[in-house]
Amino acid sequence: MVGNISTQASPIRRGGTSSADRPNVLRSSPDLFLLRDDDRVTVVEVKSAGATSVREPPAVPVPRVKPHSEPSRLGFILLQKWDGVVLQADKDTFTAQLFDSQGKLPPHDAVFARSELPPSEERLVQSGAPFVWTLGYRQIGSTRERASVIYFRRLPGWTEEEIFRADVAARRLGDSLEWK
Amino acid sequence: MFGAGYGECLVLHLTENQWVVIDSCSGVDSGVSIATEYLTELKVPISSAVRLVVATHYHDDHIGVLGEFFERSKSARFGCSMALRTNDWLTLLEVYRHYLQDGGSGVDQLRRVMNELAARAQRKEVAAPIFCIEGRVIREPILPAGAALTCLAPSDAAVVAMHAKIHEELLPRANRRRLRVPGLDRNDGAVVFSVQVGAASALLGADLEERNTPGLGWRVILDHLAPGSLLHDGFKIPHHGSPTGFHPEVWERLITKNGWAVVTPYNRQKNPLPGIEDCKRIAAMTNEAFITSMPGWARFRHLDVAVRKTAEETTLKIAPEQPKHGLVRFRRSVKPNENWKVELFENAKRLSEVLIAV
Repeated sequence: MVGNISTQASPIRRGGTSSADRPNVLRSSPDLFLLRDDDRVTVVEVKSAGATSVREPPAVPVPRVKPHSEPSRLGFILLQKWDGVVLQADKDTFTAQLFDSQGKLPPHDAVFARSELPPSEERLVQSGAPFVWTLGYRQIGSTRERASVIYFRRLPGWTEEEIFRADVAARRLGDSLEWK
Repeated sequence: MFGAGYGECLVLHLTENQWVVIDSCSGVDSGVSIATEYLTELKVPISSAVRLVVATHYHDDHIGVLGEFFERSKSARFGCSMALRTNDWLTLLEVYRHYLQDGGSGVDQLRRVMNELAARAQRKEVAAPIFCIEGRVIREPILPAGAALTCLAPSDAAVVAMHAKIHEELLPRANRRRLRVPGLDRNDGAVVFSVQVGAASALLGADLEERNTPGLGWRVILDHLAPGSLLHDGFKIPHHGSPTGFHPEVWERLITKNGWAVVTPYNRQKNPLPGIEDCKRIAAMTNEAFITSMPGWARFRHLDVAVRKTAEETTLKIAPEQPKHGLVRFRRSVKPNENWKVELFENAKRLSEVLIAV
């Protein structure tokens, strides 16, 4: 005897050549099959008489992420980050107000040379422009060097809706204060 | 006259325990105006004794914590330049209500003042601002008898020019880059006052600069002066003693010979104001010149040596915004032929000491 089949519900319909006739397997283990046929769930217990080992389902190949065997060779250790805003600028320098991103330091002022910036950032220097300035260590393999990076924030532009709403609120405020 | 490395505030006592505050900067507690700290120390009831609060223009160093002080000054009217009397300005304040960048929008304090005015309007109190323009005189009942604040600036042309600048350069437009409110490089709309209390007088120059343009700057004030105009006892030097704030005729025609003068520093730029040449120029105009604190950048400090070294290598200058306050207090009786008494507090000095120190 290959195996006994016992059920807890109606017998499994066997045969059928189309997928619509074949029951759907919901879950399975070496000993149990949960099959669904229409709206009924059938539990089928498979026992192998005289078997000395549990029959295991065939292995299903799945993708696996190979664990890294060594740390990344590139890294940045952040020591200080400032959020800045340009106060004024001339052709060679710009002056900025700096706010510690962690709020631990008081506001600072700084003057930067525009030559510190790559062209892609330098073209964004203008009064009122927000930027981020990070200082830390750049790790390349086993070497470490101090690094300073300035990049200007590319914020989305003002929207028409924002301007419109502000204009409506402004008119209301102006009327109440006899501002006009 | 209060001033730190950044920020200034004028507190005027106009007799009968009635006060006027012009501009504002933060005190030792950065969330509180220095005027609040000073008047509280003198046990002056701010809510009833302050009659007028003025913002001469919208630059950050003149409106620091202004909203906080105005909210306390329950009996005070609010004064500002006629150059701000435009719907574009209110729209700008409303647009920047939601500007979520560190450092705020730069005009947060003025919006706070607007909110306070709106609340007062709802309570049916007098909320309309006093818009200052050349020729307007503020006196009783806002000020006590015998006191008057005469507006010498902005001129009509300056108001028109500022309205255009607000519309073209400051007001956000759809799809334009989202920036913090930029400071205009010229303070054409700044309010200049001639203050008189009895026989005492002073010229308060705000940040007005000479533009060498018809209708703007100090030239237009001089052109509109009536013959025999008042010679003021003292002068709040405009624009931190900069060359553009200087006009020799102002000293000749508006200030008493060797009258007192006071200047506040401005450190937030590559070359702090007043520079050495500026100090020399002022010292040549009067022997009684004072400065509220020393100009110049402080030293940058950081716990992490790597940060300190990298920051100093990356920047041309870096320093904390230090509220090194100083107070220069000028007092005299309102009766004729009385002398002024000058007192210096904290970091305030005679301007001659700055020249010696260099």
